[in-house]
Amino acid sequence: METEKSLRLVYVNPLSAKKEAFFLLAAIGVVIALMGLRFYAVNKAEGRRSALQPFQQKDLFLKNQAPAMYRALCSVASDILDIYQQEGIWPDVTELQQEELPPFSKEFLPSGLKGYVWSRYIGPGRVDYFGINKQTDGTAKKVSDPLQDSFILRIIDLQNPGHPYPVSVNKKDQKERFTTQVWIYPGPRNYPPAGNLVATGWKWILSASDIADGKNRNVVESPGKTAETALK
Amino acid sequence: MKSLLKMCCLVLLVVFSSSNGLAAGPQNKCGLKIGVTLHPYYSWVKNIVGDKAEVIPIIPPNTDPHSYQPTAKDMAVLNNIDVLVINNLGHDEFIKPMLKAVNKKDLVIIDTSKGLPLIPVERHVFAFEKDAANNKVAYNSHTYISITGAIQQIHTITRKLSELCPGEAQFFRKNSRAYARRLRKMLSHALQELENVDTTGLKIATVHDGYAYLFQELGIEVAAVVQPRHGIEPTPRQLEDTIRRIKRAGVNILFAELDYRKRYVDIIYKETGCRIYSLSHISNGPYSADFFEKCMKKNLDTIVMALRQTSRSQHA
Repeated sequence: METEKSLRLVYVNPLSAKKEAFFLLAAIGVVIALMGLRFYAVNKAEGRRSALQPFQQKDLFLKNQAPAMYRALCSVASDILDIYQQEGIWPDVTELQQEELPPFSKEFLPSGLKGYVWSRYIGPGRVDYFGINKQTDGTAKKVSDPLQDSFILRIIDLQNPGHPYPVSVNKKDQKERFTTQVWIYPGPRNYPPAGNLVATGWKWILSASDIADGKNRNVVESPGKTAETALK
Repeated sequence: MKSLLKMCCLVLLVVFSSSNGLAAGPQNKCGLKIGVTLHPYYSWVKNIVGDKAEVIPIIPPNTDPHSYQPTAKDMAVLNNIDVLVINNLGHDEFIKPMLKAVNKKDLVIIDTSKGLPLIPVERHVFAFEKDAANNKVAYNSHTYISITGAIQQIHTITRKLSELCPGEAQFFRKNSRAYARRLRKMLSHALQELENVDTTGLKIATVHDGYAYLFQELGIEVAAVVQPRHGIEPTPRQLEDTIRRIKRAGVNILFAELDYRKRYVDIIYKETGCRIYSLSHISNGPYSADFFEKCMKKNLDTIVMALRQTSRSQHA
C-alpha cells in the first residue's frame, strides 16, 4: 500500500536542445547584426573619405603613359620651388631644360612622352607649367582608353591673397607656403583663359595617398566656400 | 685656495655644458639620429645629410625585411633615434609592432609614400580605395625601385629634415639635387639605349610585381606578373602554373629576382623558350651610400641588355 502511494507519474520529455538552440541562434543573429552594422559604418566612412569633387580625378584612371608624366610632374615640383626660393622668380621652361629636369628636358622621358611642348604662365599667386602633346591629333582618343594630352603643373603660393582656387589645405600642413597640383585635360587643349581650370573642364589629379591622408576633405573651392561642406 | 679654484672650474664647466645644451635645443636638431627601415632609404638619407647626421638602419645588414624578426638590440636602436624613414605601404610592416612597443612620442616619422603617385596591386584587398570598376585595391609598396619616384621621395625626406634642421637646409637641398641629377642621368642613359631597341614582338613578364614603377618610367609594358608573391621557393605546382602563364601570355622575357634558382630558370627556359634575367629587389645587402645607385644601375643595364638580346634573336 505504502509503495503504491509513493509512486508518482513523471513525464520525461524526449531529449531536445530547444533552449540551447534558441540561444545559439540568438547569438548568431547578434553577430550577423553587428557585422552588418560594422559593414555599414565602414562603407559610410569610406564613401566620405573617397568622395571627390566634380573637378577631381584619381590617378588610378590615368592610362597609357600618362602615369609616367604625372609622376615626372609630381617629382619636379620640389626642384622648381628650390629655384624659385633661390632666385625669387619662377624659372622658365628653358631654364628647367638647362637644369635637366623632366618632363621639360625630354631625354629623361620614354619616347611616347617626348611630343609634349611646355610653356610657363604666371598669374597672381601661381605659376602654371602647361604641356600639350603635339604628336596627337585627337582622333586617336577613345572613350574607353582616353589619352591625356594636356597637363598643367600648378604651384600656388598660399601666402598670396590673390592665389587661385580650389586649393587643398591640410590642417597639419598649414605652415606650408606652397602647394602643388597636377591638372589634366583628356585631349589636346590650349591653355585656358586666365588659368581658370575648373570652368574649362580640366581635372585635378589626386594620388591615393592624398585621399587616404584626408587632404581631399579640406579642399577650399573659393575664398568663401569649402568642399567639405559640399560633402555633407 | 685649491678647492676654490676647483669649485670655479666646476661652475664654469656646468655653465658651458648647459649653454651648449641650449644651442642644440629642439629648435635646431642638427646631429639628428635618423633611422631607416629599408636599404634604399639608407642610401638616400646618407646622400642628403652627408656627415651632418647619423643614419641608422633598424634591421641589420644582409637581412631580408620579409623574414626579419626584431631583436632586443634593434628595439634599443629604435628607442635611440630622433627620426624614422618608413615605406608605410606594406614593405616594412615589421616596424609597426616595434613602434607600438617603444611608444616613443617625440619620434618624427617620415612617410615616404605621402603624396606619391601609386600603382594599384591586383587581387590584393586591404586598402579602402576603389578602381574604375569599383573594386577595392591595394597599392604596390615597391615605390623605391624606380628613379622618378625615388627622386620625389628624396625631396620629401629633404624637406622634412630641413624643417628639423633649418641650419643645414641649404646643404641638404644642394646634396639632394645633386643626387637626383645623378639618378636622372642613369635613367636618361637607359632610355637612350632603349630607343635603339626594336621592341615589336617583345612581351615582358616579371616574377613578382616589384618592378612596376621602374618599367612604367621606362615606358615598358609588363604583360604579366607570373608569381605575385616573392621570396618564396616555388612548389612544383607553382612552377607549372608559372610556365602555363608564360605560355598563355606569349612572354619572351621574364625578369626574376637575383636569388631565383638556376634550376628553375633552366626548367622555364626549356619549357617555354622564354629568356630569364635577374633584377635586384634592393632590400637585402650591405648598407652604403652608393648601394641604391649600384643596384639601380645594374637593374637598368640588365633591362637594356635583356631587351636588346631578345630583340636581336627575335628579328634575326
